[in-house]
Amino acid sequence: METMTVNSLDSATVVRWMQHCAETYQQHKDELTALDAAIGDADHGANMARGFTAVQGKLDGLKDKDIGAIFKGVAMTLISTVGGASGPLYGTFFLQAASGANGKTSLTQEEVAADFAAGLKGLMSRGKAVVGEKTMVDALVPALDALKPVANDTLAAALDRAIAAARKGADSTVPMVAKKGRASYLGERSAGHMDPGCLSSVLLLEALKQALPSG
Amino acid sequence: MVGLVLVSHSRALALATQELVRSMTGPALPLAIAAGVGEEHRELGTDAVEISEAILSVQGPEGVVVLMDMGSAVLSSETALDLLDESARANITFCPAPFVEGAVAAGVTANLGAPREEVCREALASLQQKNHALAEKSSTPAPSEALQKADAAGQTIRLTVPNLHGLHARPAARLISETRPFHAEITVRNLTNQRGPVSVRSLSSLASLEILQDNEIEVAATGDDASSALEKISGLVKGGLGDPLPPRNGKAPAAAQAEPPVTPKQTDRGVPVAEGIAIGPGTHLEEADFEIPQNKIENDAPEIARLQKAVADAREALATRQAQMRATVGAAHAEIYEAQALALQDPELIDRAISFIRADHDNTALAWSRANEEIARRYESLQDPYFRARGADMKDIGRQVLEALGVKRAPAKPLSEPRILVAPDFAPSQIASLERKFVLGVILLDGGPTAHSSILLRALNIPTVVQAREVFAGRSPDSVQTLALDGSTGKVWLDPAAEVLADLRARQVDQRQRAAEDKESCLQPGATLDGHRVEILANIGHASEAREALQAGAEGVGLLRTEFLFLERDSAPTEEEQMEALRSIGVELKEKPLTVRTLDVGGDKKLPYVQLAPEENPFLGVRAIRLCFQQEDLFATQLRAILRAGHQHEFQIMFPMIADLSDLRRAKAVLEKVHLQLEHEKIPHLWPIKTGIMVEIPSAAIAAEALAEQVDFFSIGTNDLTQYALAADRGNPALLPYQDSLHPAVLHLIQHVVKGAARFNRPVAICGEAASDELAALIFVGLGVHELSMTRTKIARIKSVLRQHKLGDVQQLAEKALACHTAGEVRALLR
Repeated sequence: METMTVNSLDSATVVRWMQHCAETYQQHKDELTALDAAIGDADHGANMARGFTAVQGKLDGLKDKDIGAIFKGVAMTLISTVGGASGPLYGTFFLQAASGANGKTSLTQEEVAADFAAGLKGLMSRGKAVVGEKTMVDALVPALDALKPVANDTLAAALDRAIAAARKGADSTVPMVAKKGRASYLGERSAGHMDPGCLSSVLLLEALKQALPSG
Repeated sequence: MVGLVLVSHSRALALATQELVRSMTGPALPLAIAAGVGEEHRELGTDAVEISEAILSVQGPEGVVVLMDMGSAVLSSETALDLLDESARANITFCPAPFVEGAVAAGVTANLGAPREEVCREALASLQQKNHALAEKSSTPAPSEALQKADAAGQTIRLTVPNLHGLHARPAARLISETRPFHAEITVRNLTNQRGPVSVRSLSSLASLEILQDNEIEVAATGDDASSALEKISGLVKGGLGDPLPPRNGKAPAAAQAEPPVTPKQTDRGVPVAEGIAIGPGTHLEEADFEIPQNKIENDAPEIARLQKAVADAREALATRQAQMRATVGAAHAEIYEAQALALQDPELIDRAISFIRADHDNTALAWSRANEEIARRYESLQDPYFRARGADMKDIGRQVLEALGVKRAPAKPLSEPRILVAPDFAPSQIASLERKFVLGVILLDGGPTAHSSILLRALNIPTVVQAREVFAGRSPDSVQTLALDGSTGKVWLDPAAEVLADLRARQVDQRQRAAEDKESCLQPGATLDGHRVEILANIGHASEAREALQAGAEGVGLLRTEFLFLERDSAPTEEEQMEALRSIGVELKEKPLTVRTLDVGGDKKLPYVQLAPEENPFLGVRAIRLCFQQEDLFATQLRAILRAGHQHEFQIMFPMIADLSDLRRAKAVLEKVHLQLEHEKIPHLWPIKTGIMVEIPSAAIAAEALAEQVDFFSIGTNDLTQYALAADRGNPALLPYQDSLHPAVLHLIQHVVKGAARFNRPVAICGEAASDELAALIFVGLGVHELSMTRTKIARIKSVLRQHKLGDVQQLAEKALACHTAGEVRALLR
């Protein structure tokens, strides 16, 4: 029998992804908060955990819907429950990603890459951020770049690349001086700490990797 | 009507702001809030969905103005717009005005029926209002026409200020003094905060630029030497103007922008001088003490001349003080006088005073104090704490010039209720005029622990802390409602919290109770718990103190300082005069012993009728017995008076500053000669008389055994012994850690004296300050010292402490103290 290569993302996987997100943000709440305490207002961990716990509560009603509908539900929930800047930012990401996934219960690897790229574009225009300003964009831009399919690719391999790229991008924010968000009030003092938004972006991608059916 | 939506992270803030707006507008205004997230919106954050709903709830044909606080409030508001239908988005304005002020202004304007644009404009203008209101107070003086011209026409350079705390007073002063030689008109402008231009010649003007680290400044110069002036300034600024340059990498302290630098020397304590806890309202004795004449004048020229002369006089006085400070505490501390001297030359200040004379016909003193106060206030309104502190400097200068003008000081208002007195320093005469019952305690901003005034305050049992200027750093003592001080630790509290106050009050009651108990038992002989006898004696400085000493429990006088007979007069006291005074003490003491120390002047005490060559180091020079050897007549007269007055009394003689056996032999030879002469004259006198020496010089301590054979007793002067053993001037506050007589090196010297004395069975006394220190007294007794002589106010306490300890225990304590390496370690033994 032919081994299943995971080259697409289906609704069930998206639902699992969101469940993993709720778990991982709960687990990393303190770590995110500690990072945010160093350069922001120490609420990022609590905000993400609150937002994705709310998402988890909505999954029962979403699990039979298409991916576009699930993304939209996730977006609205994040927008209204996260509280901090990451709410509208991740919310916009999923909202923009939803438009390409409308009516689809499965996305090909190419579609995933394109869809997420649209989400990132929305996120970047919402946050008016570019690479190098010590924001989650520093992790997401290289990550989604790495997600683009190559020859003999699988979604799992692409996600591995994306996660590695996101981590690298996150690390690159350590010496940066923040120019956006609450951290920018700190000016020079924001240097020396990773941007907490970058870490939450890495966690988002890792949760997706975990959600992929093994094989 | 335009609707208003308030978006905030905090539900509480939004509700309160809403209330504020409603108080101005009434209920008609369509107003909604969107704030907080989570359960009941109690957590901090914003919810785009709620914002979109809030917008819809107040949206009419005239549209909505949205005000938001910060960060995600902006993002969420923008996201909310995305959630609305295209048609609903059209008439919504996001207004970047400050949240609270903007909301009130927007609410009022909307309530008047204004359109969206105007509502938002008014909200934004609310910030300008505040800008102006605050700028007025701390504004840069308007540049004069000449300055503007120079600024416009001159050559310019741009520089970045590297100094960690910006161009604070010291580097600013340096800049002024270094550019003084140039003729060019030089102006400075702060490009970062858009202030200036101001003249480089005025410290107060430079201060008003509030130049912080990394601010960019523009320096303009016109005149023939403009280029060389700019070149010089460029080098100076880049080089930090005398401040150490901060490291260029990892420049974390650039936070100076976000928060004012903490004054590094700020502290909560001064130097303890007289123990006891005092709590109460403070009275700052420095304020309002000049009676400024208010009369107007007709002829301004002589007034202006008077002003210039007074400023010059004050400057000269300042230079003298600076030289003194440099000599006593070092150049770094003296620099503050340099900043003051520069401020005195500030043309801005003097021009202002002259303009008051010319325009308002003020008399000199009035014009000067007005100008001075105006500029002091300008400093005080600045944000930078370094500059704010310069306001105090400015006032200080103001007083100095008023003094030079001969303006009378108002008689000190007599106290009518108990107060803690705060003053820069006290003259002993001021202390004498204090009404004791109204003085709870004293805090001297300057002063010194060994100053005459400190000794007096200690003797008066007034809880006192000195050198407390930094405790008040940035605060006027008058702005403090309740002061508290602990005279045993030096700690000072400004408006202490209720718990702290309660704790202090409890300790105060304890102390008073203990003092009352001590007093009851003070007449018992001094001894340890197990009956080991230690004589507790008094140090006195005047004949009149003998009776009080006995009443306080003294078992005799262990040290009579005879200088009172010699100081503050134009000629030496006669033999009869001295004899009378000494005899009166003998009468008072009856059979109790009196140790008379021969004249100890030189060092810091000079006699007008004794000519001495000037000395580089007076404390290492011709003082005490050394001076007496040079002035043998003076010495012999004193010895005659002592021998005669001691007839039928228990007098003994003590020679100060004996360095070795030859000093002792020489002194004893004079004494012998005096005795033979008295014999010859058939004048009754005390003979043989017990003779001892002060051990103050380490060489005497080391040679104790050899000296013991020749003396009847030793008395150790711990202050001088410590100063000479550790090479630390006892008047230099910078050397405090070296001035503690509990330093193990000093204790070893004392032990050596005790052992040497024991070989010939001679008693050893301690007559230095340390004898009245509870811990030190126990250690001394443990070392084998037989007598302690101290200021009378401490006798009851020390007797009581001694009675609580057994000899064996204090001996062990002394052993441990000898094994320590620092005074701090010794002090820690009893903690």
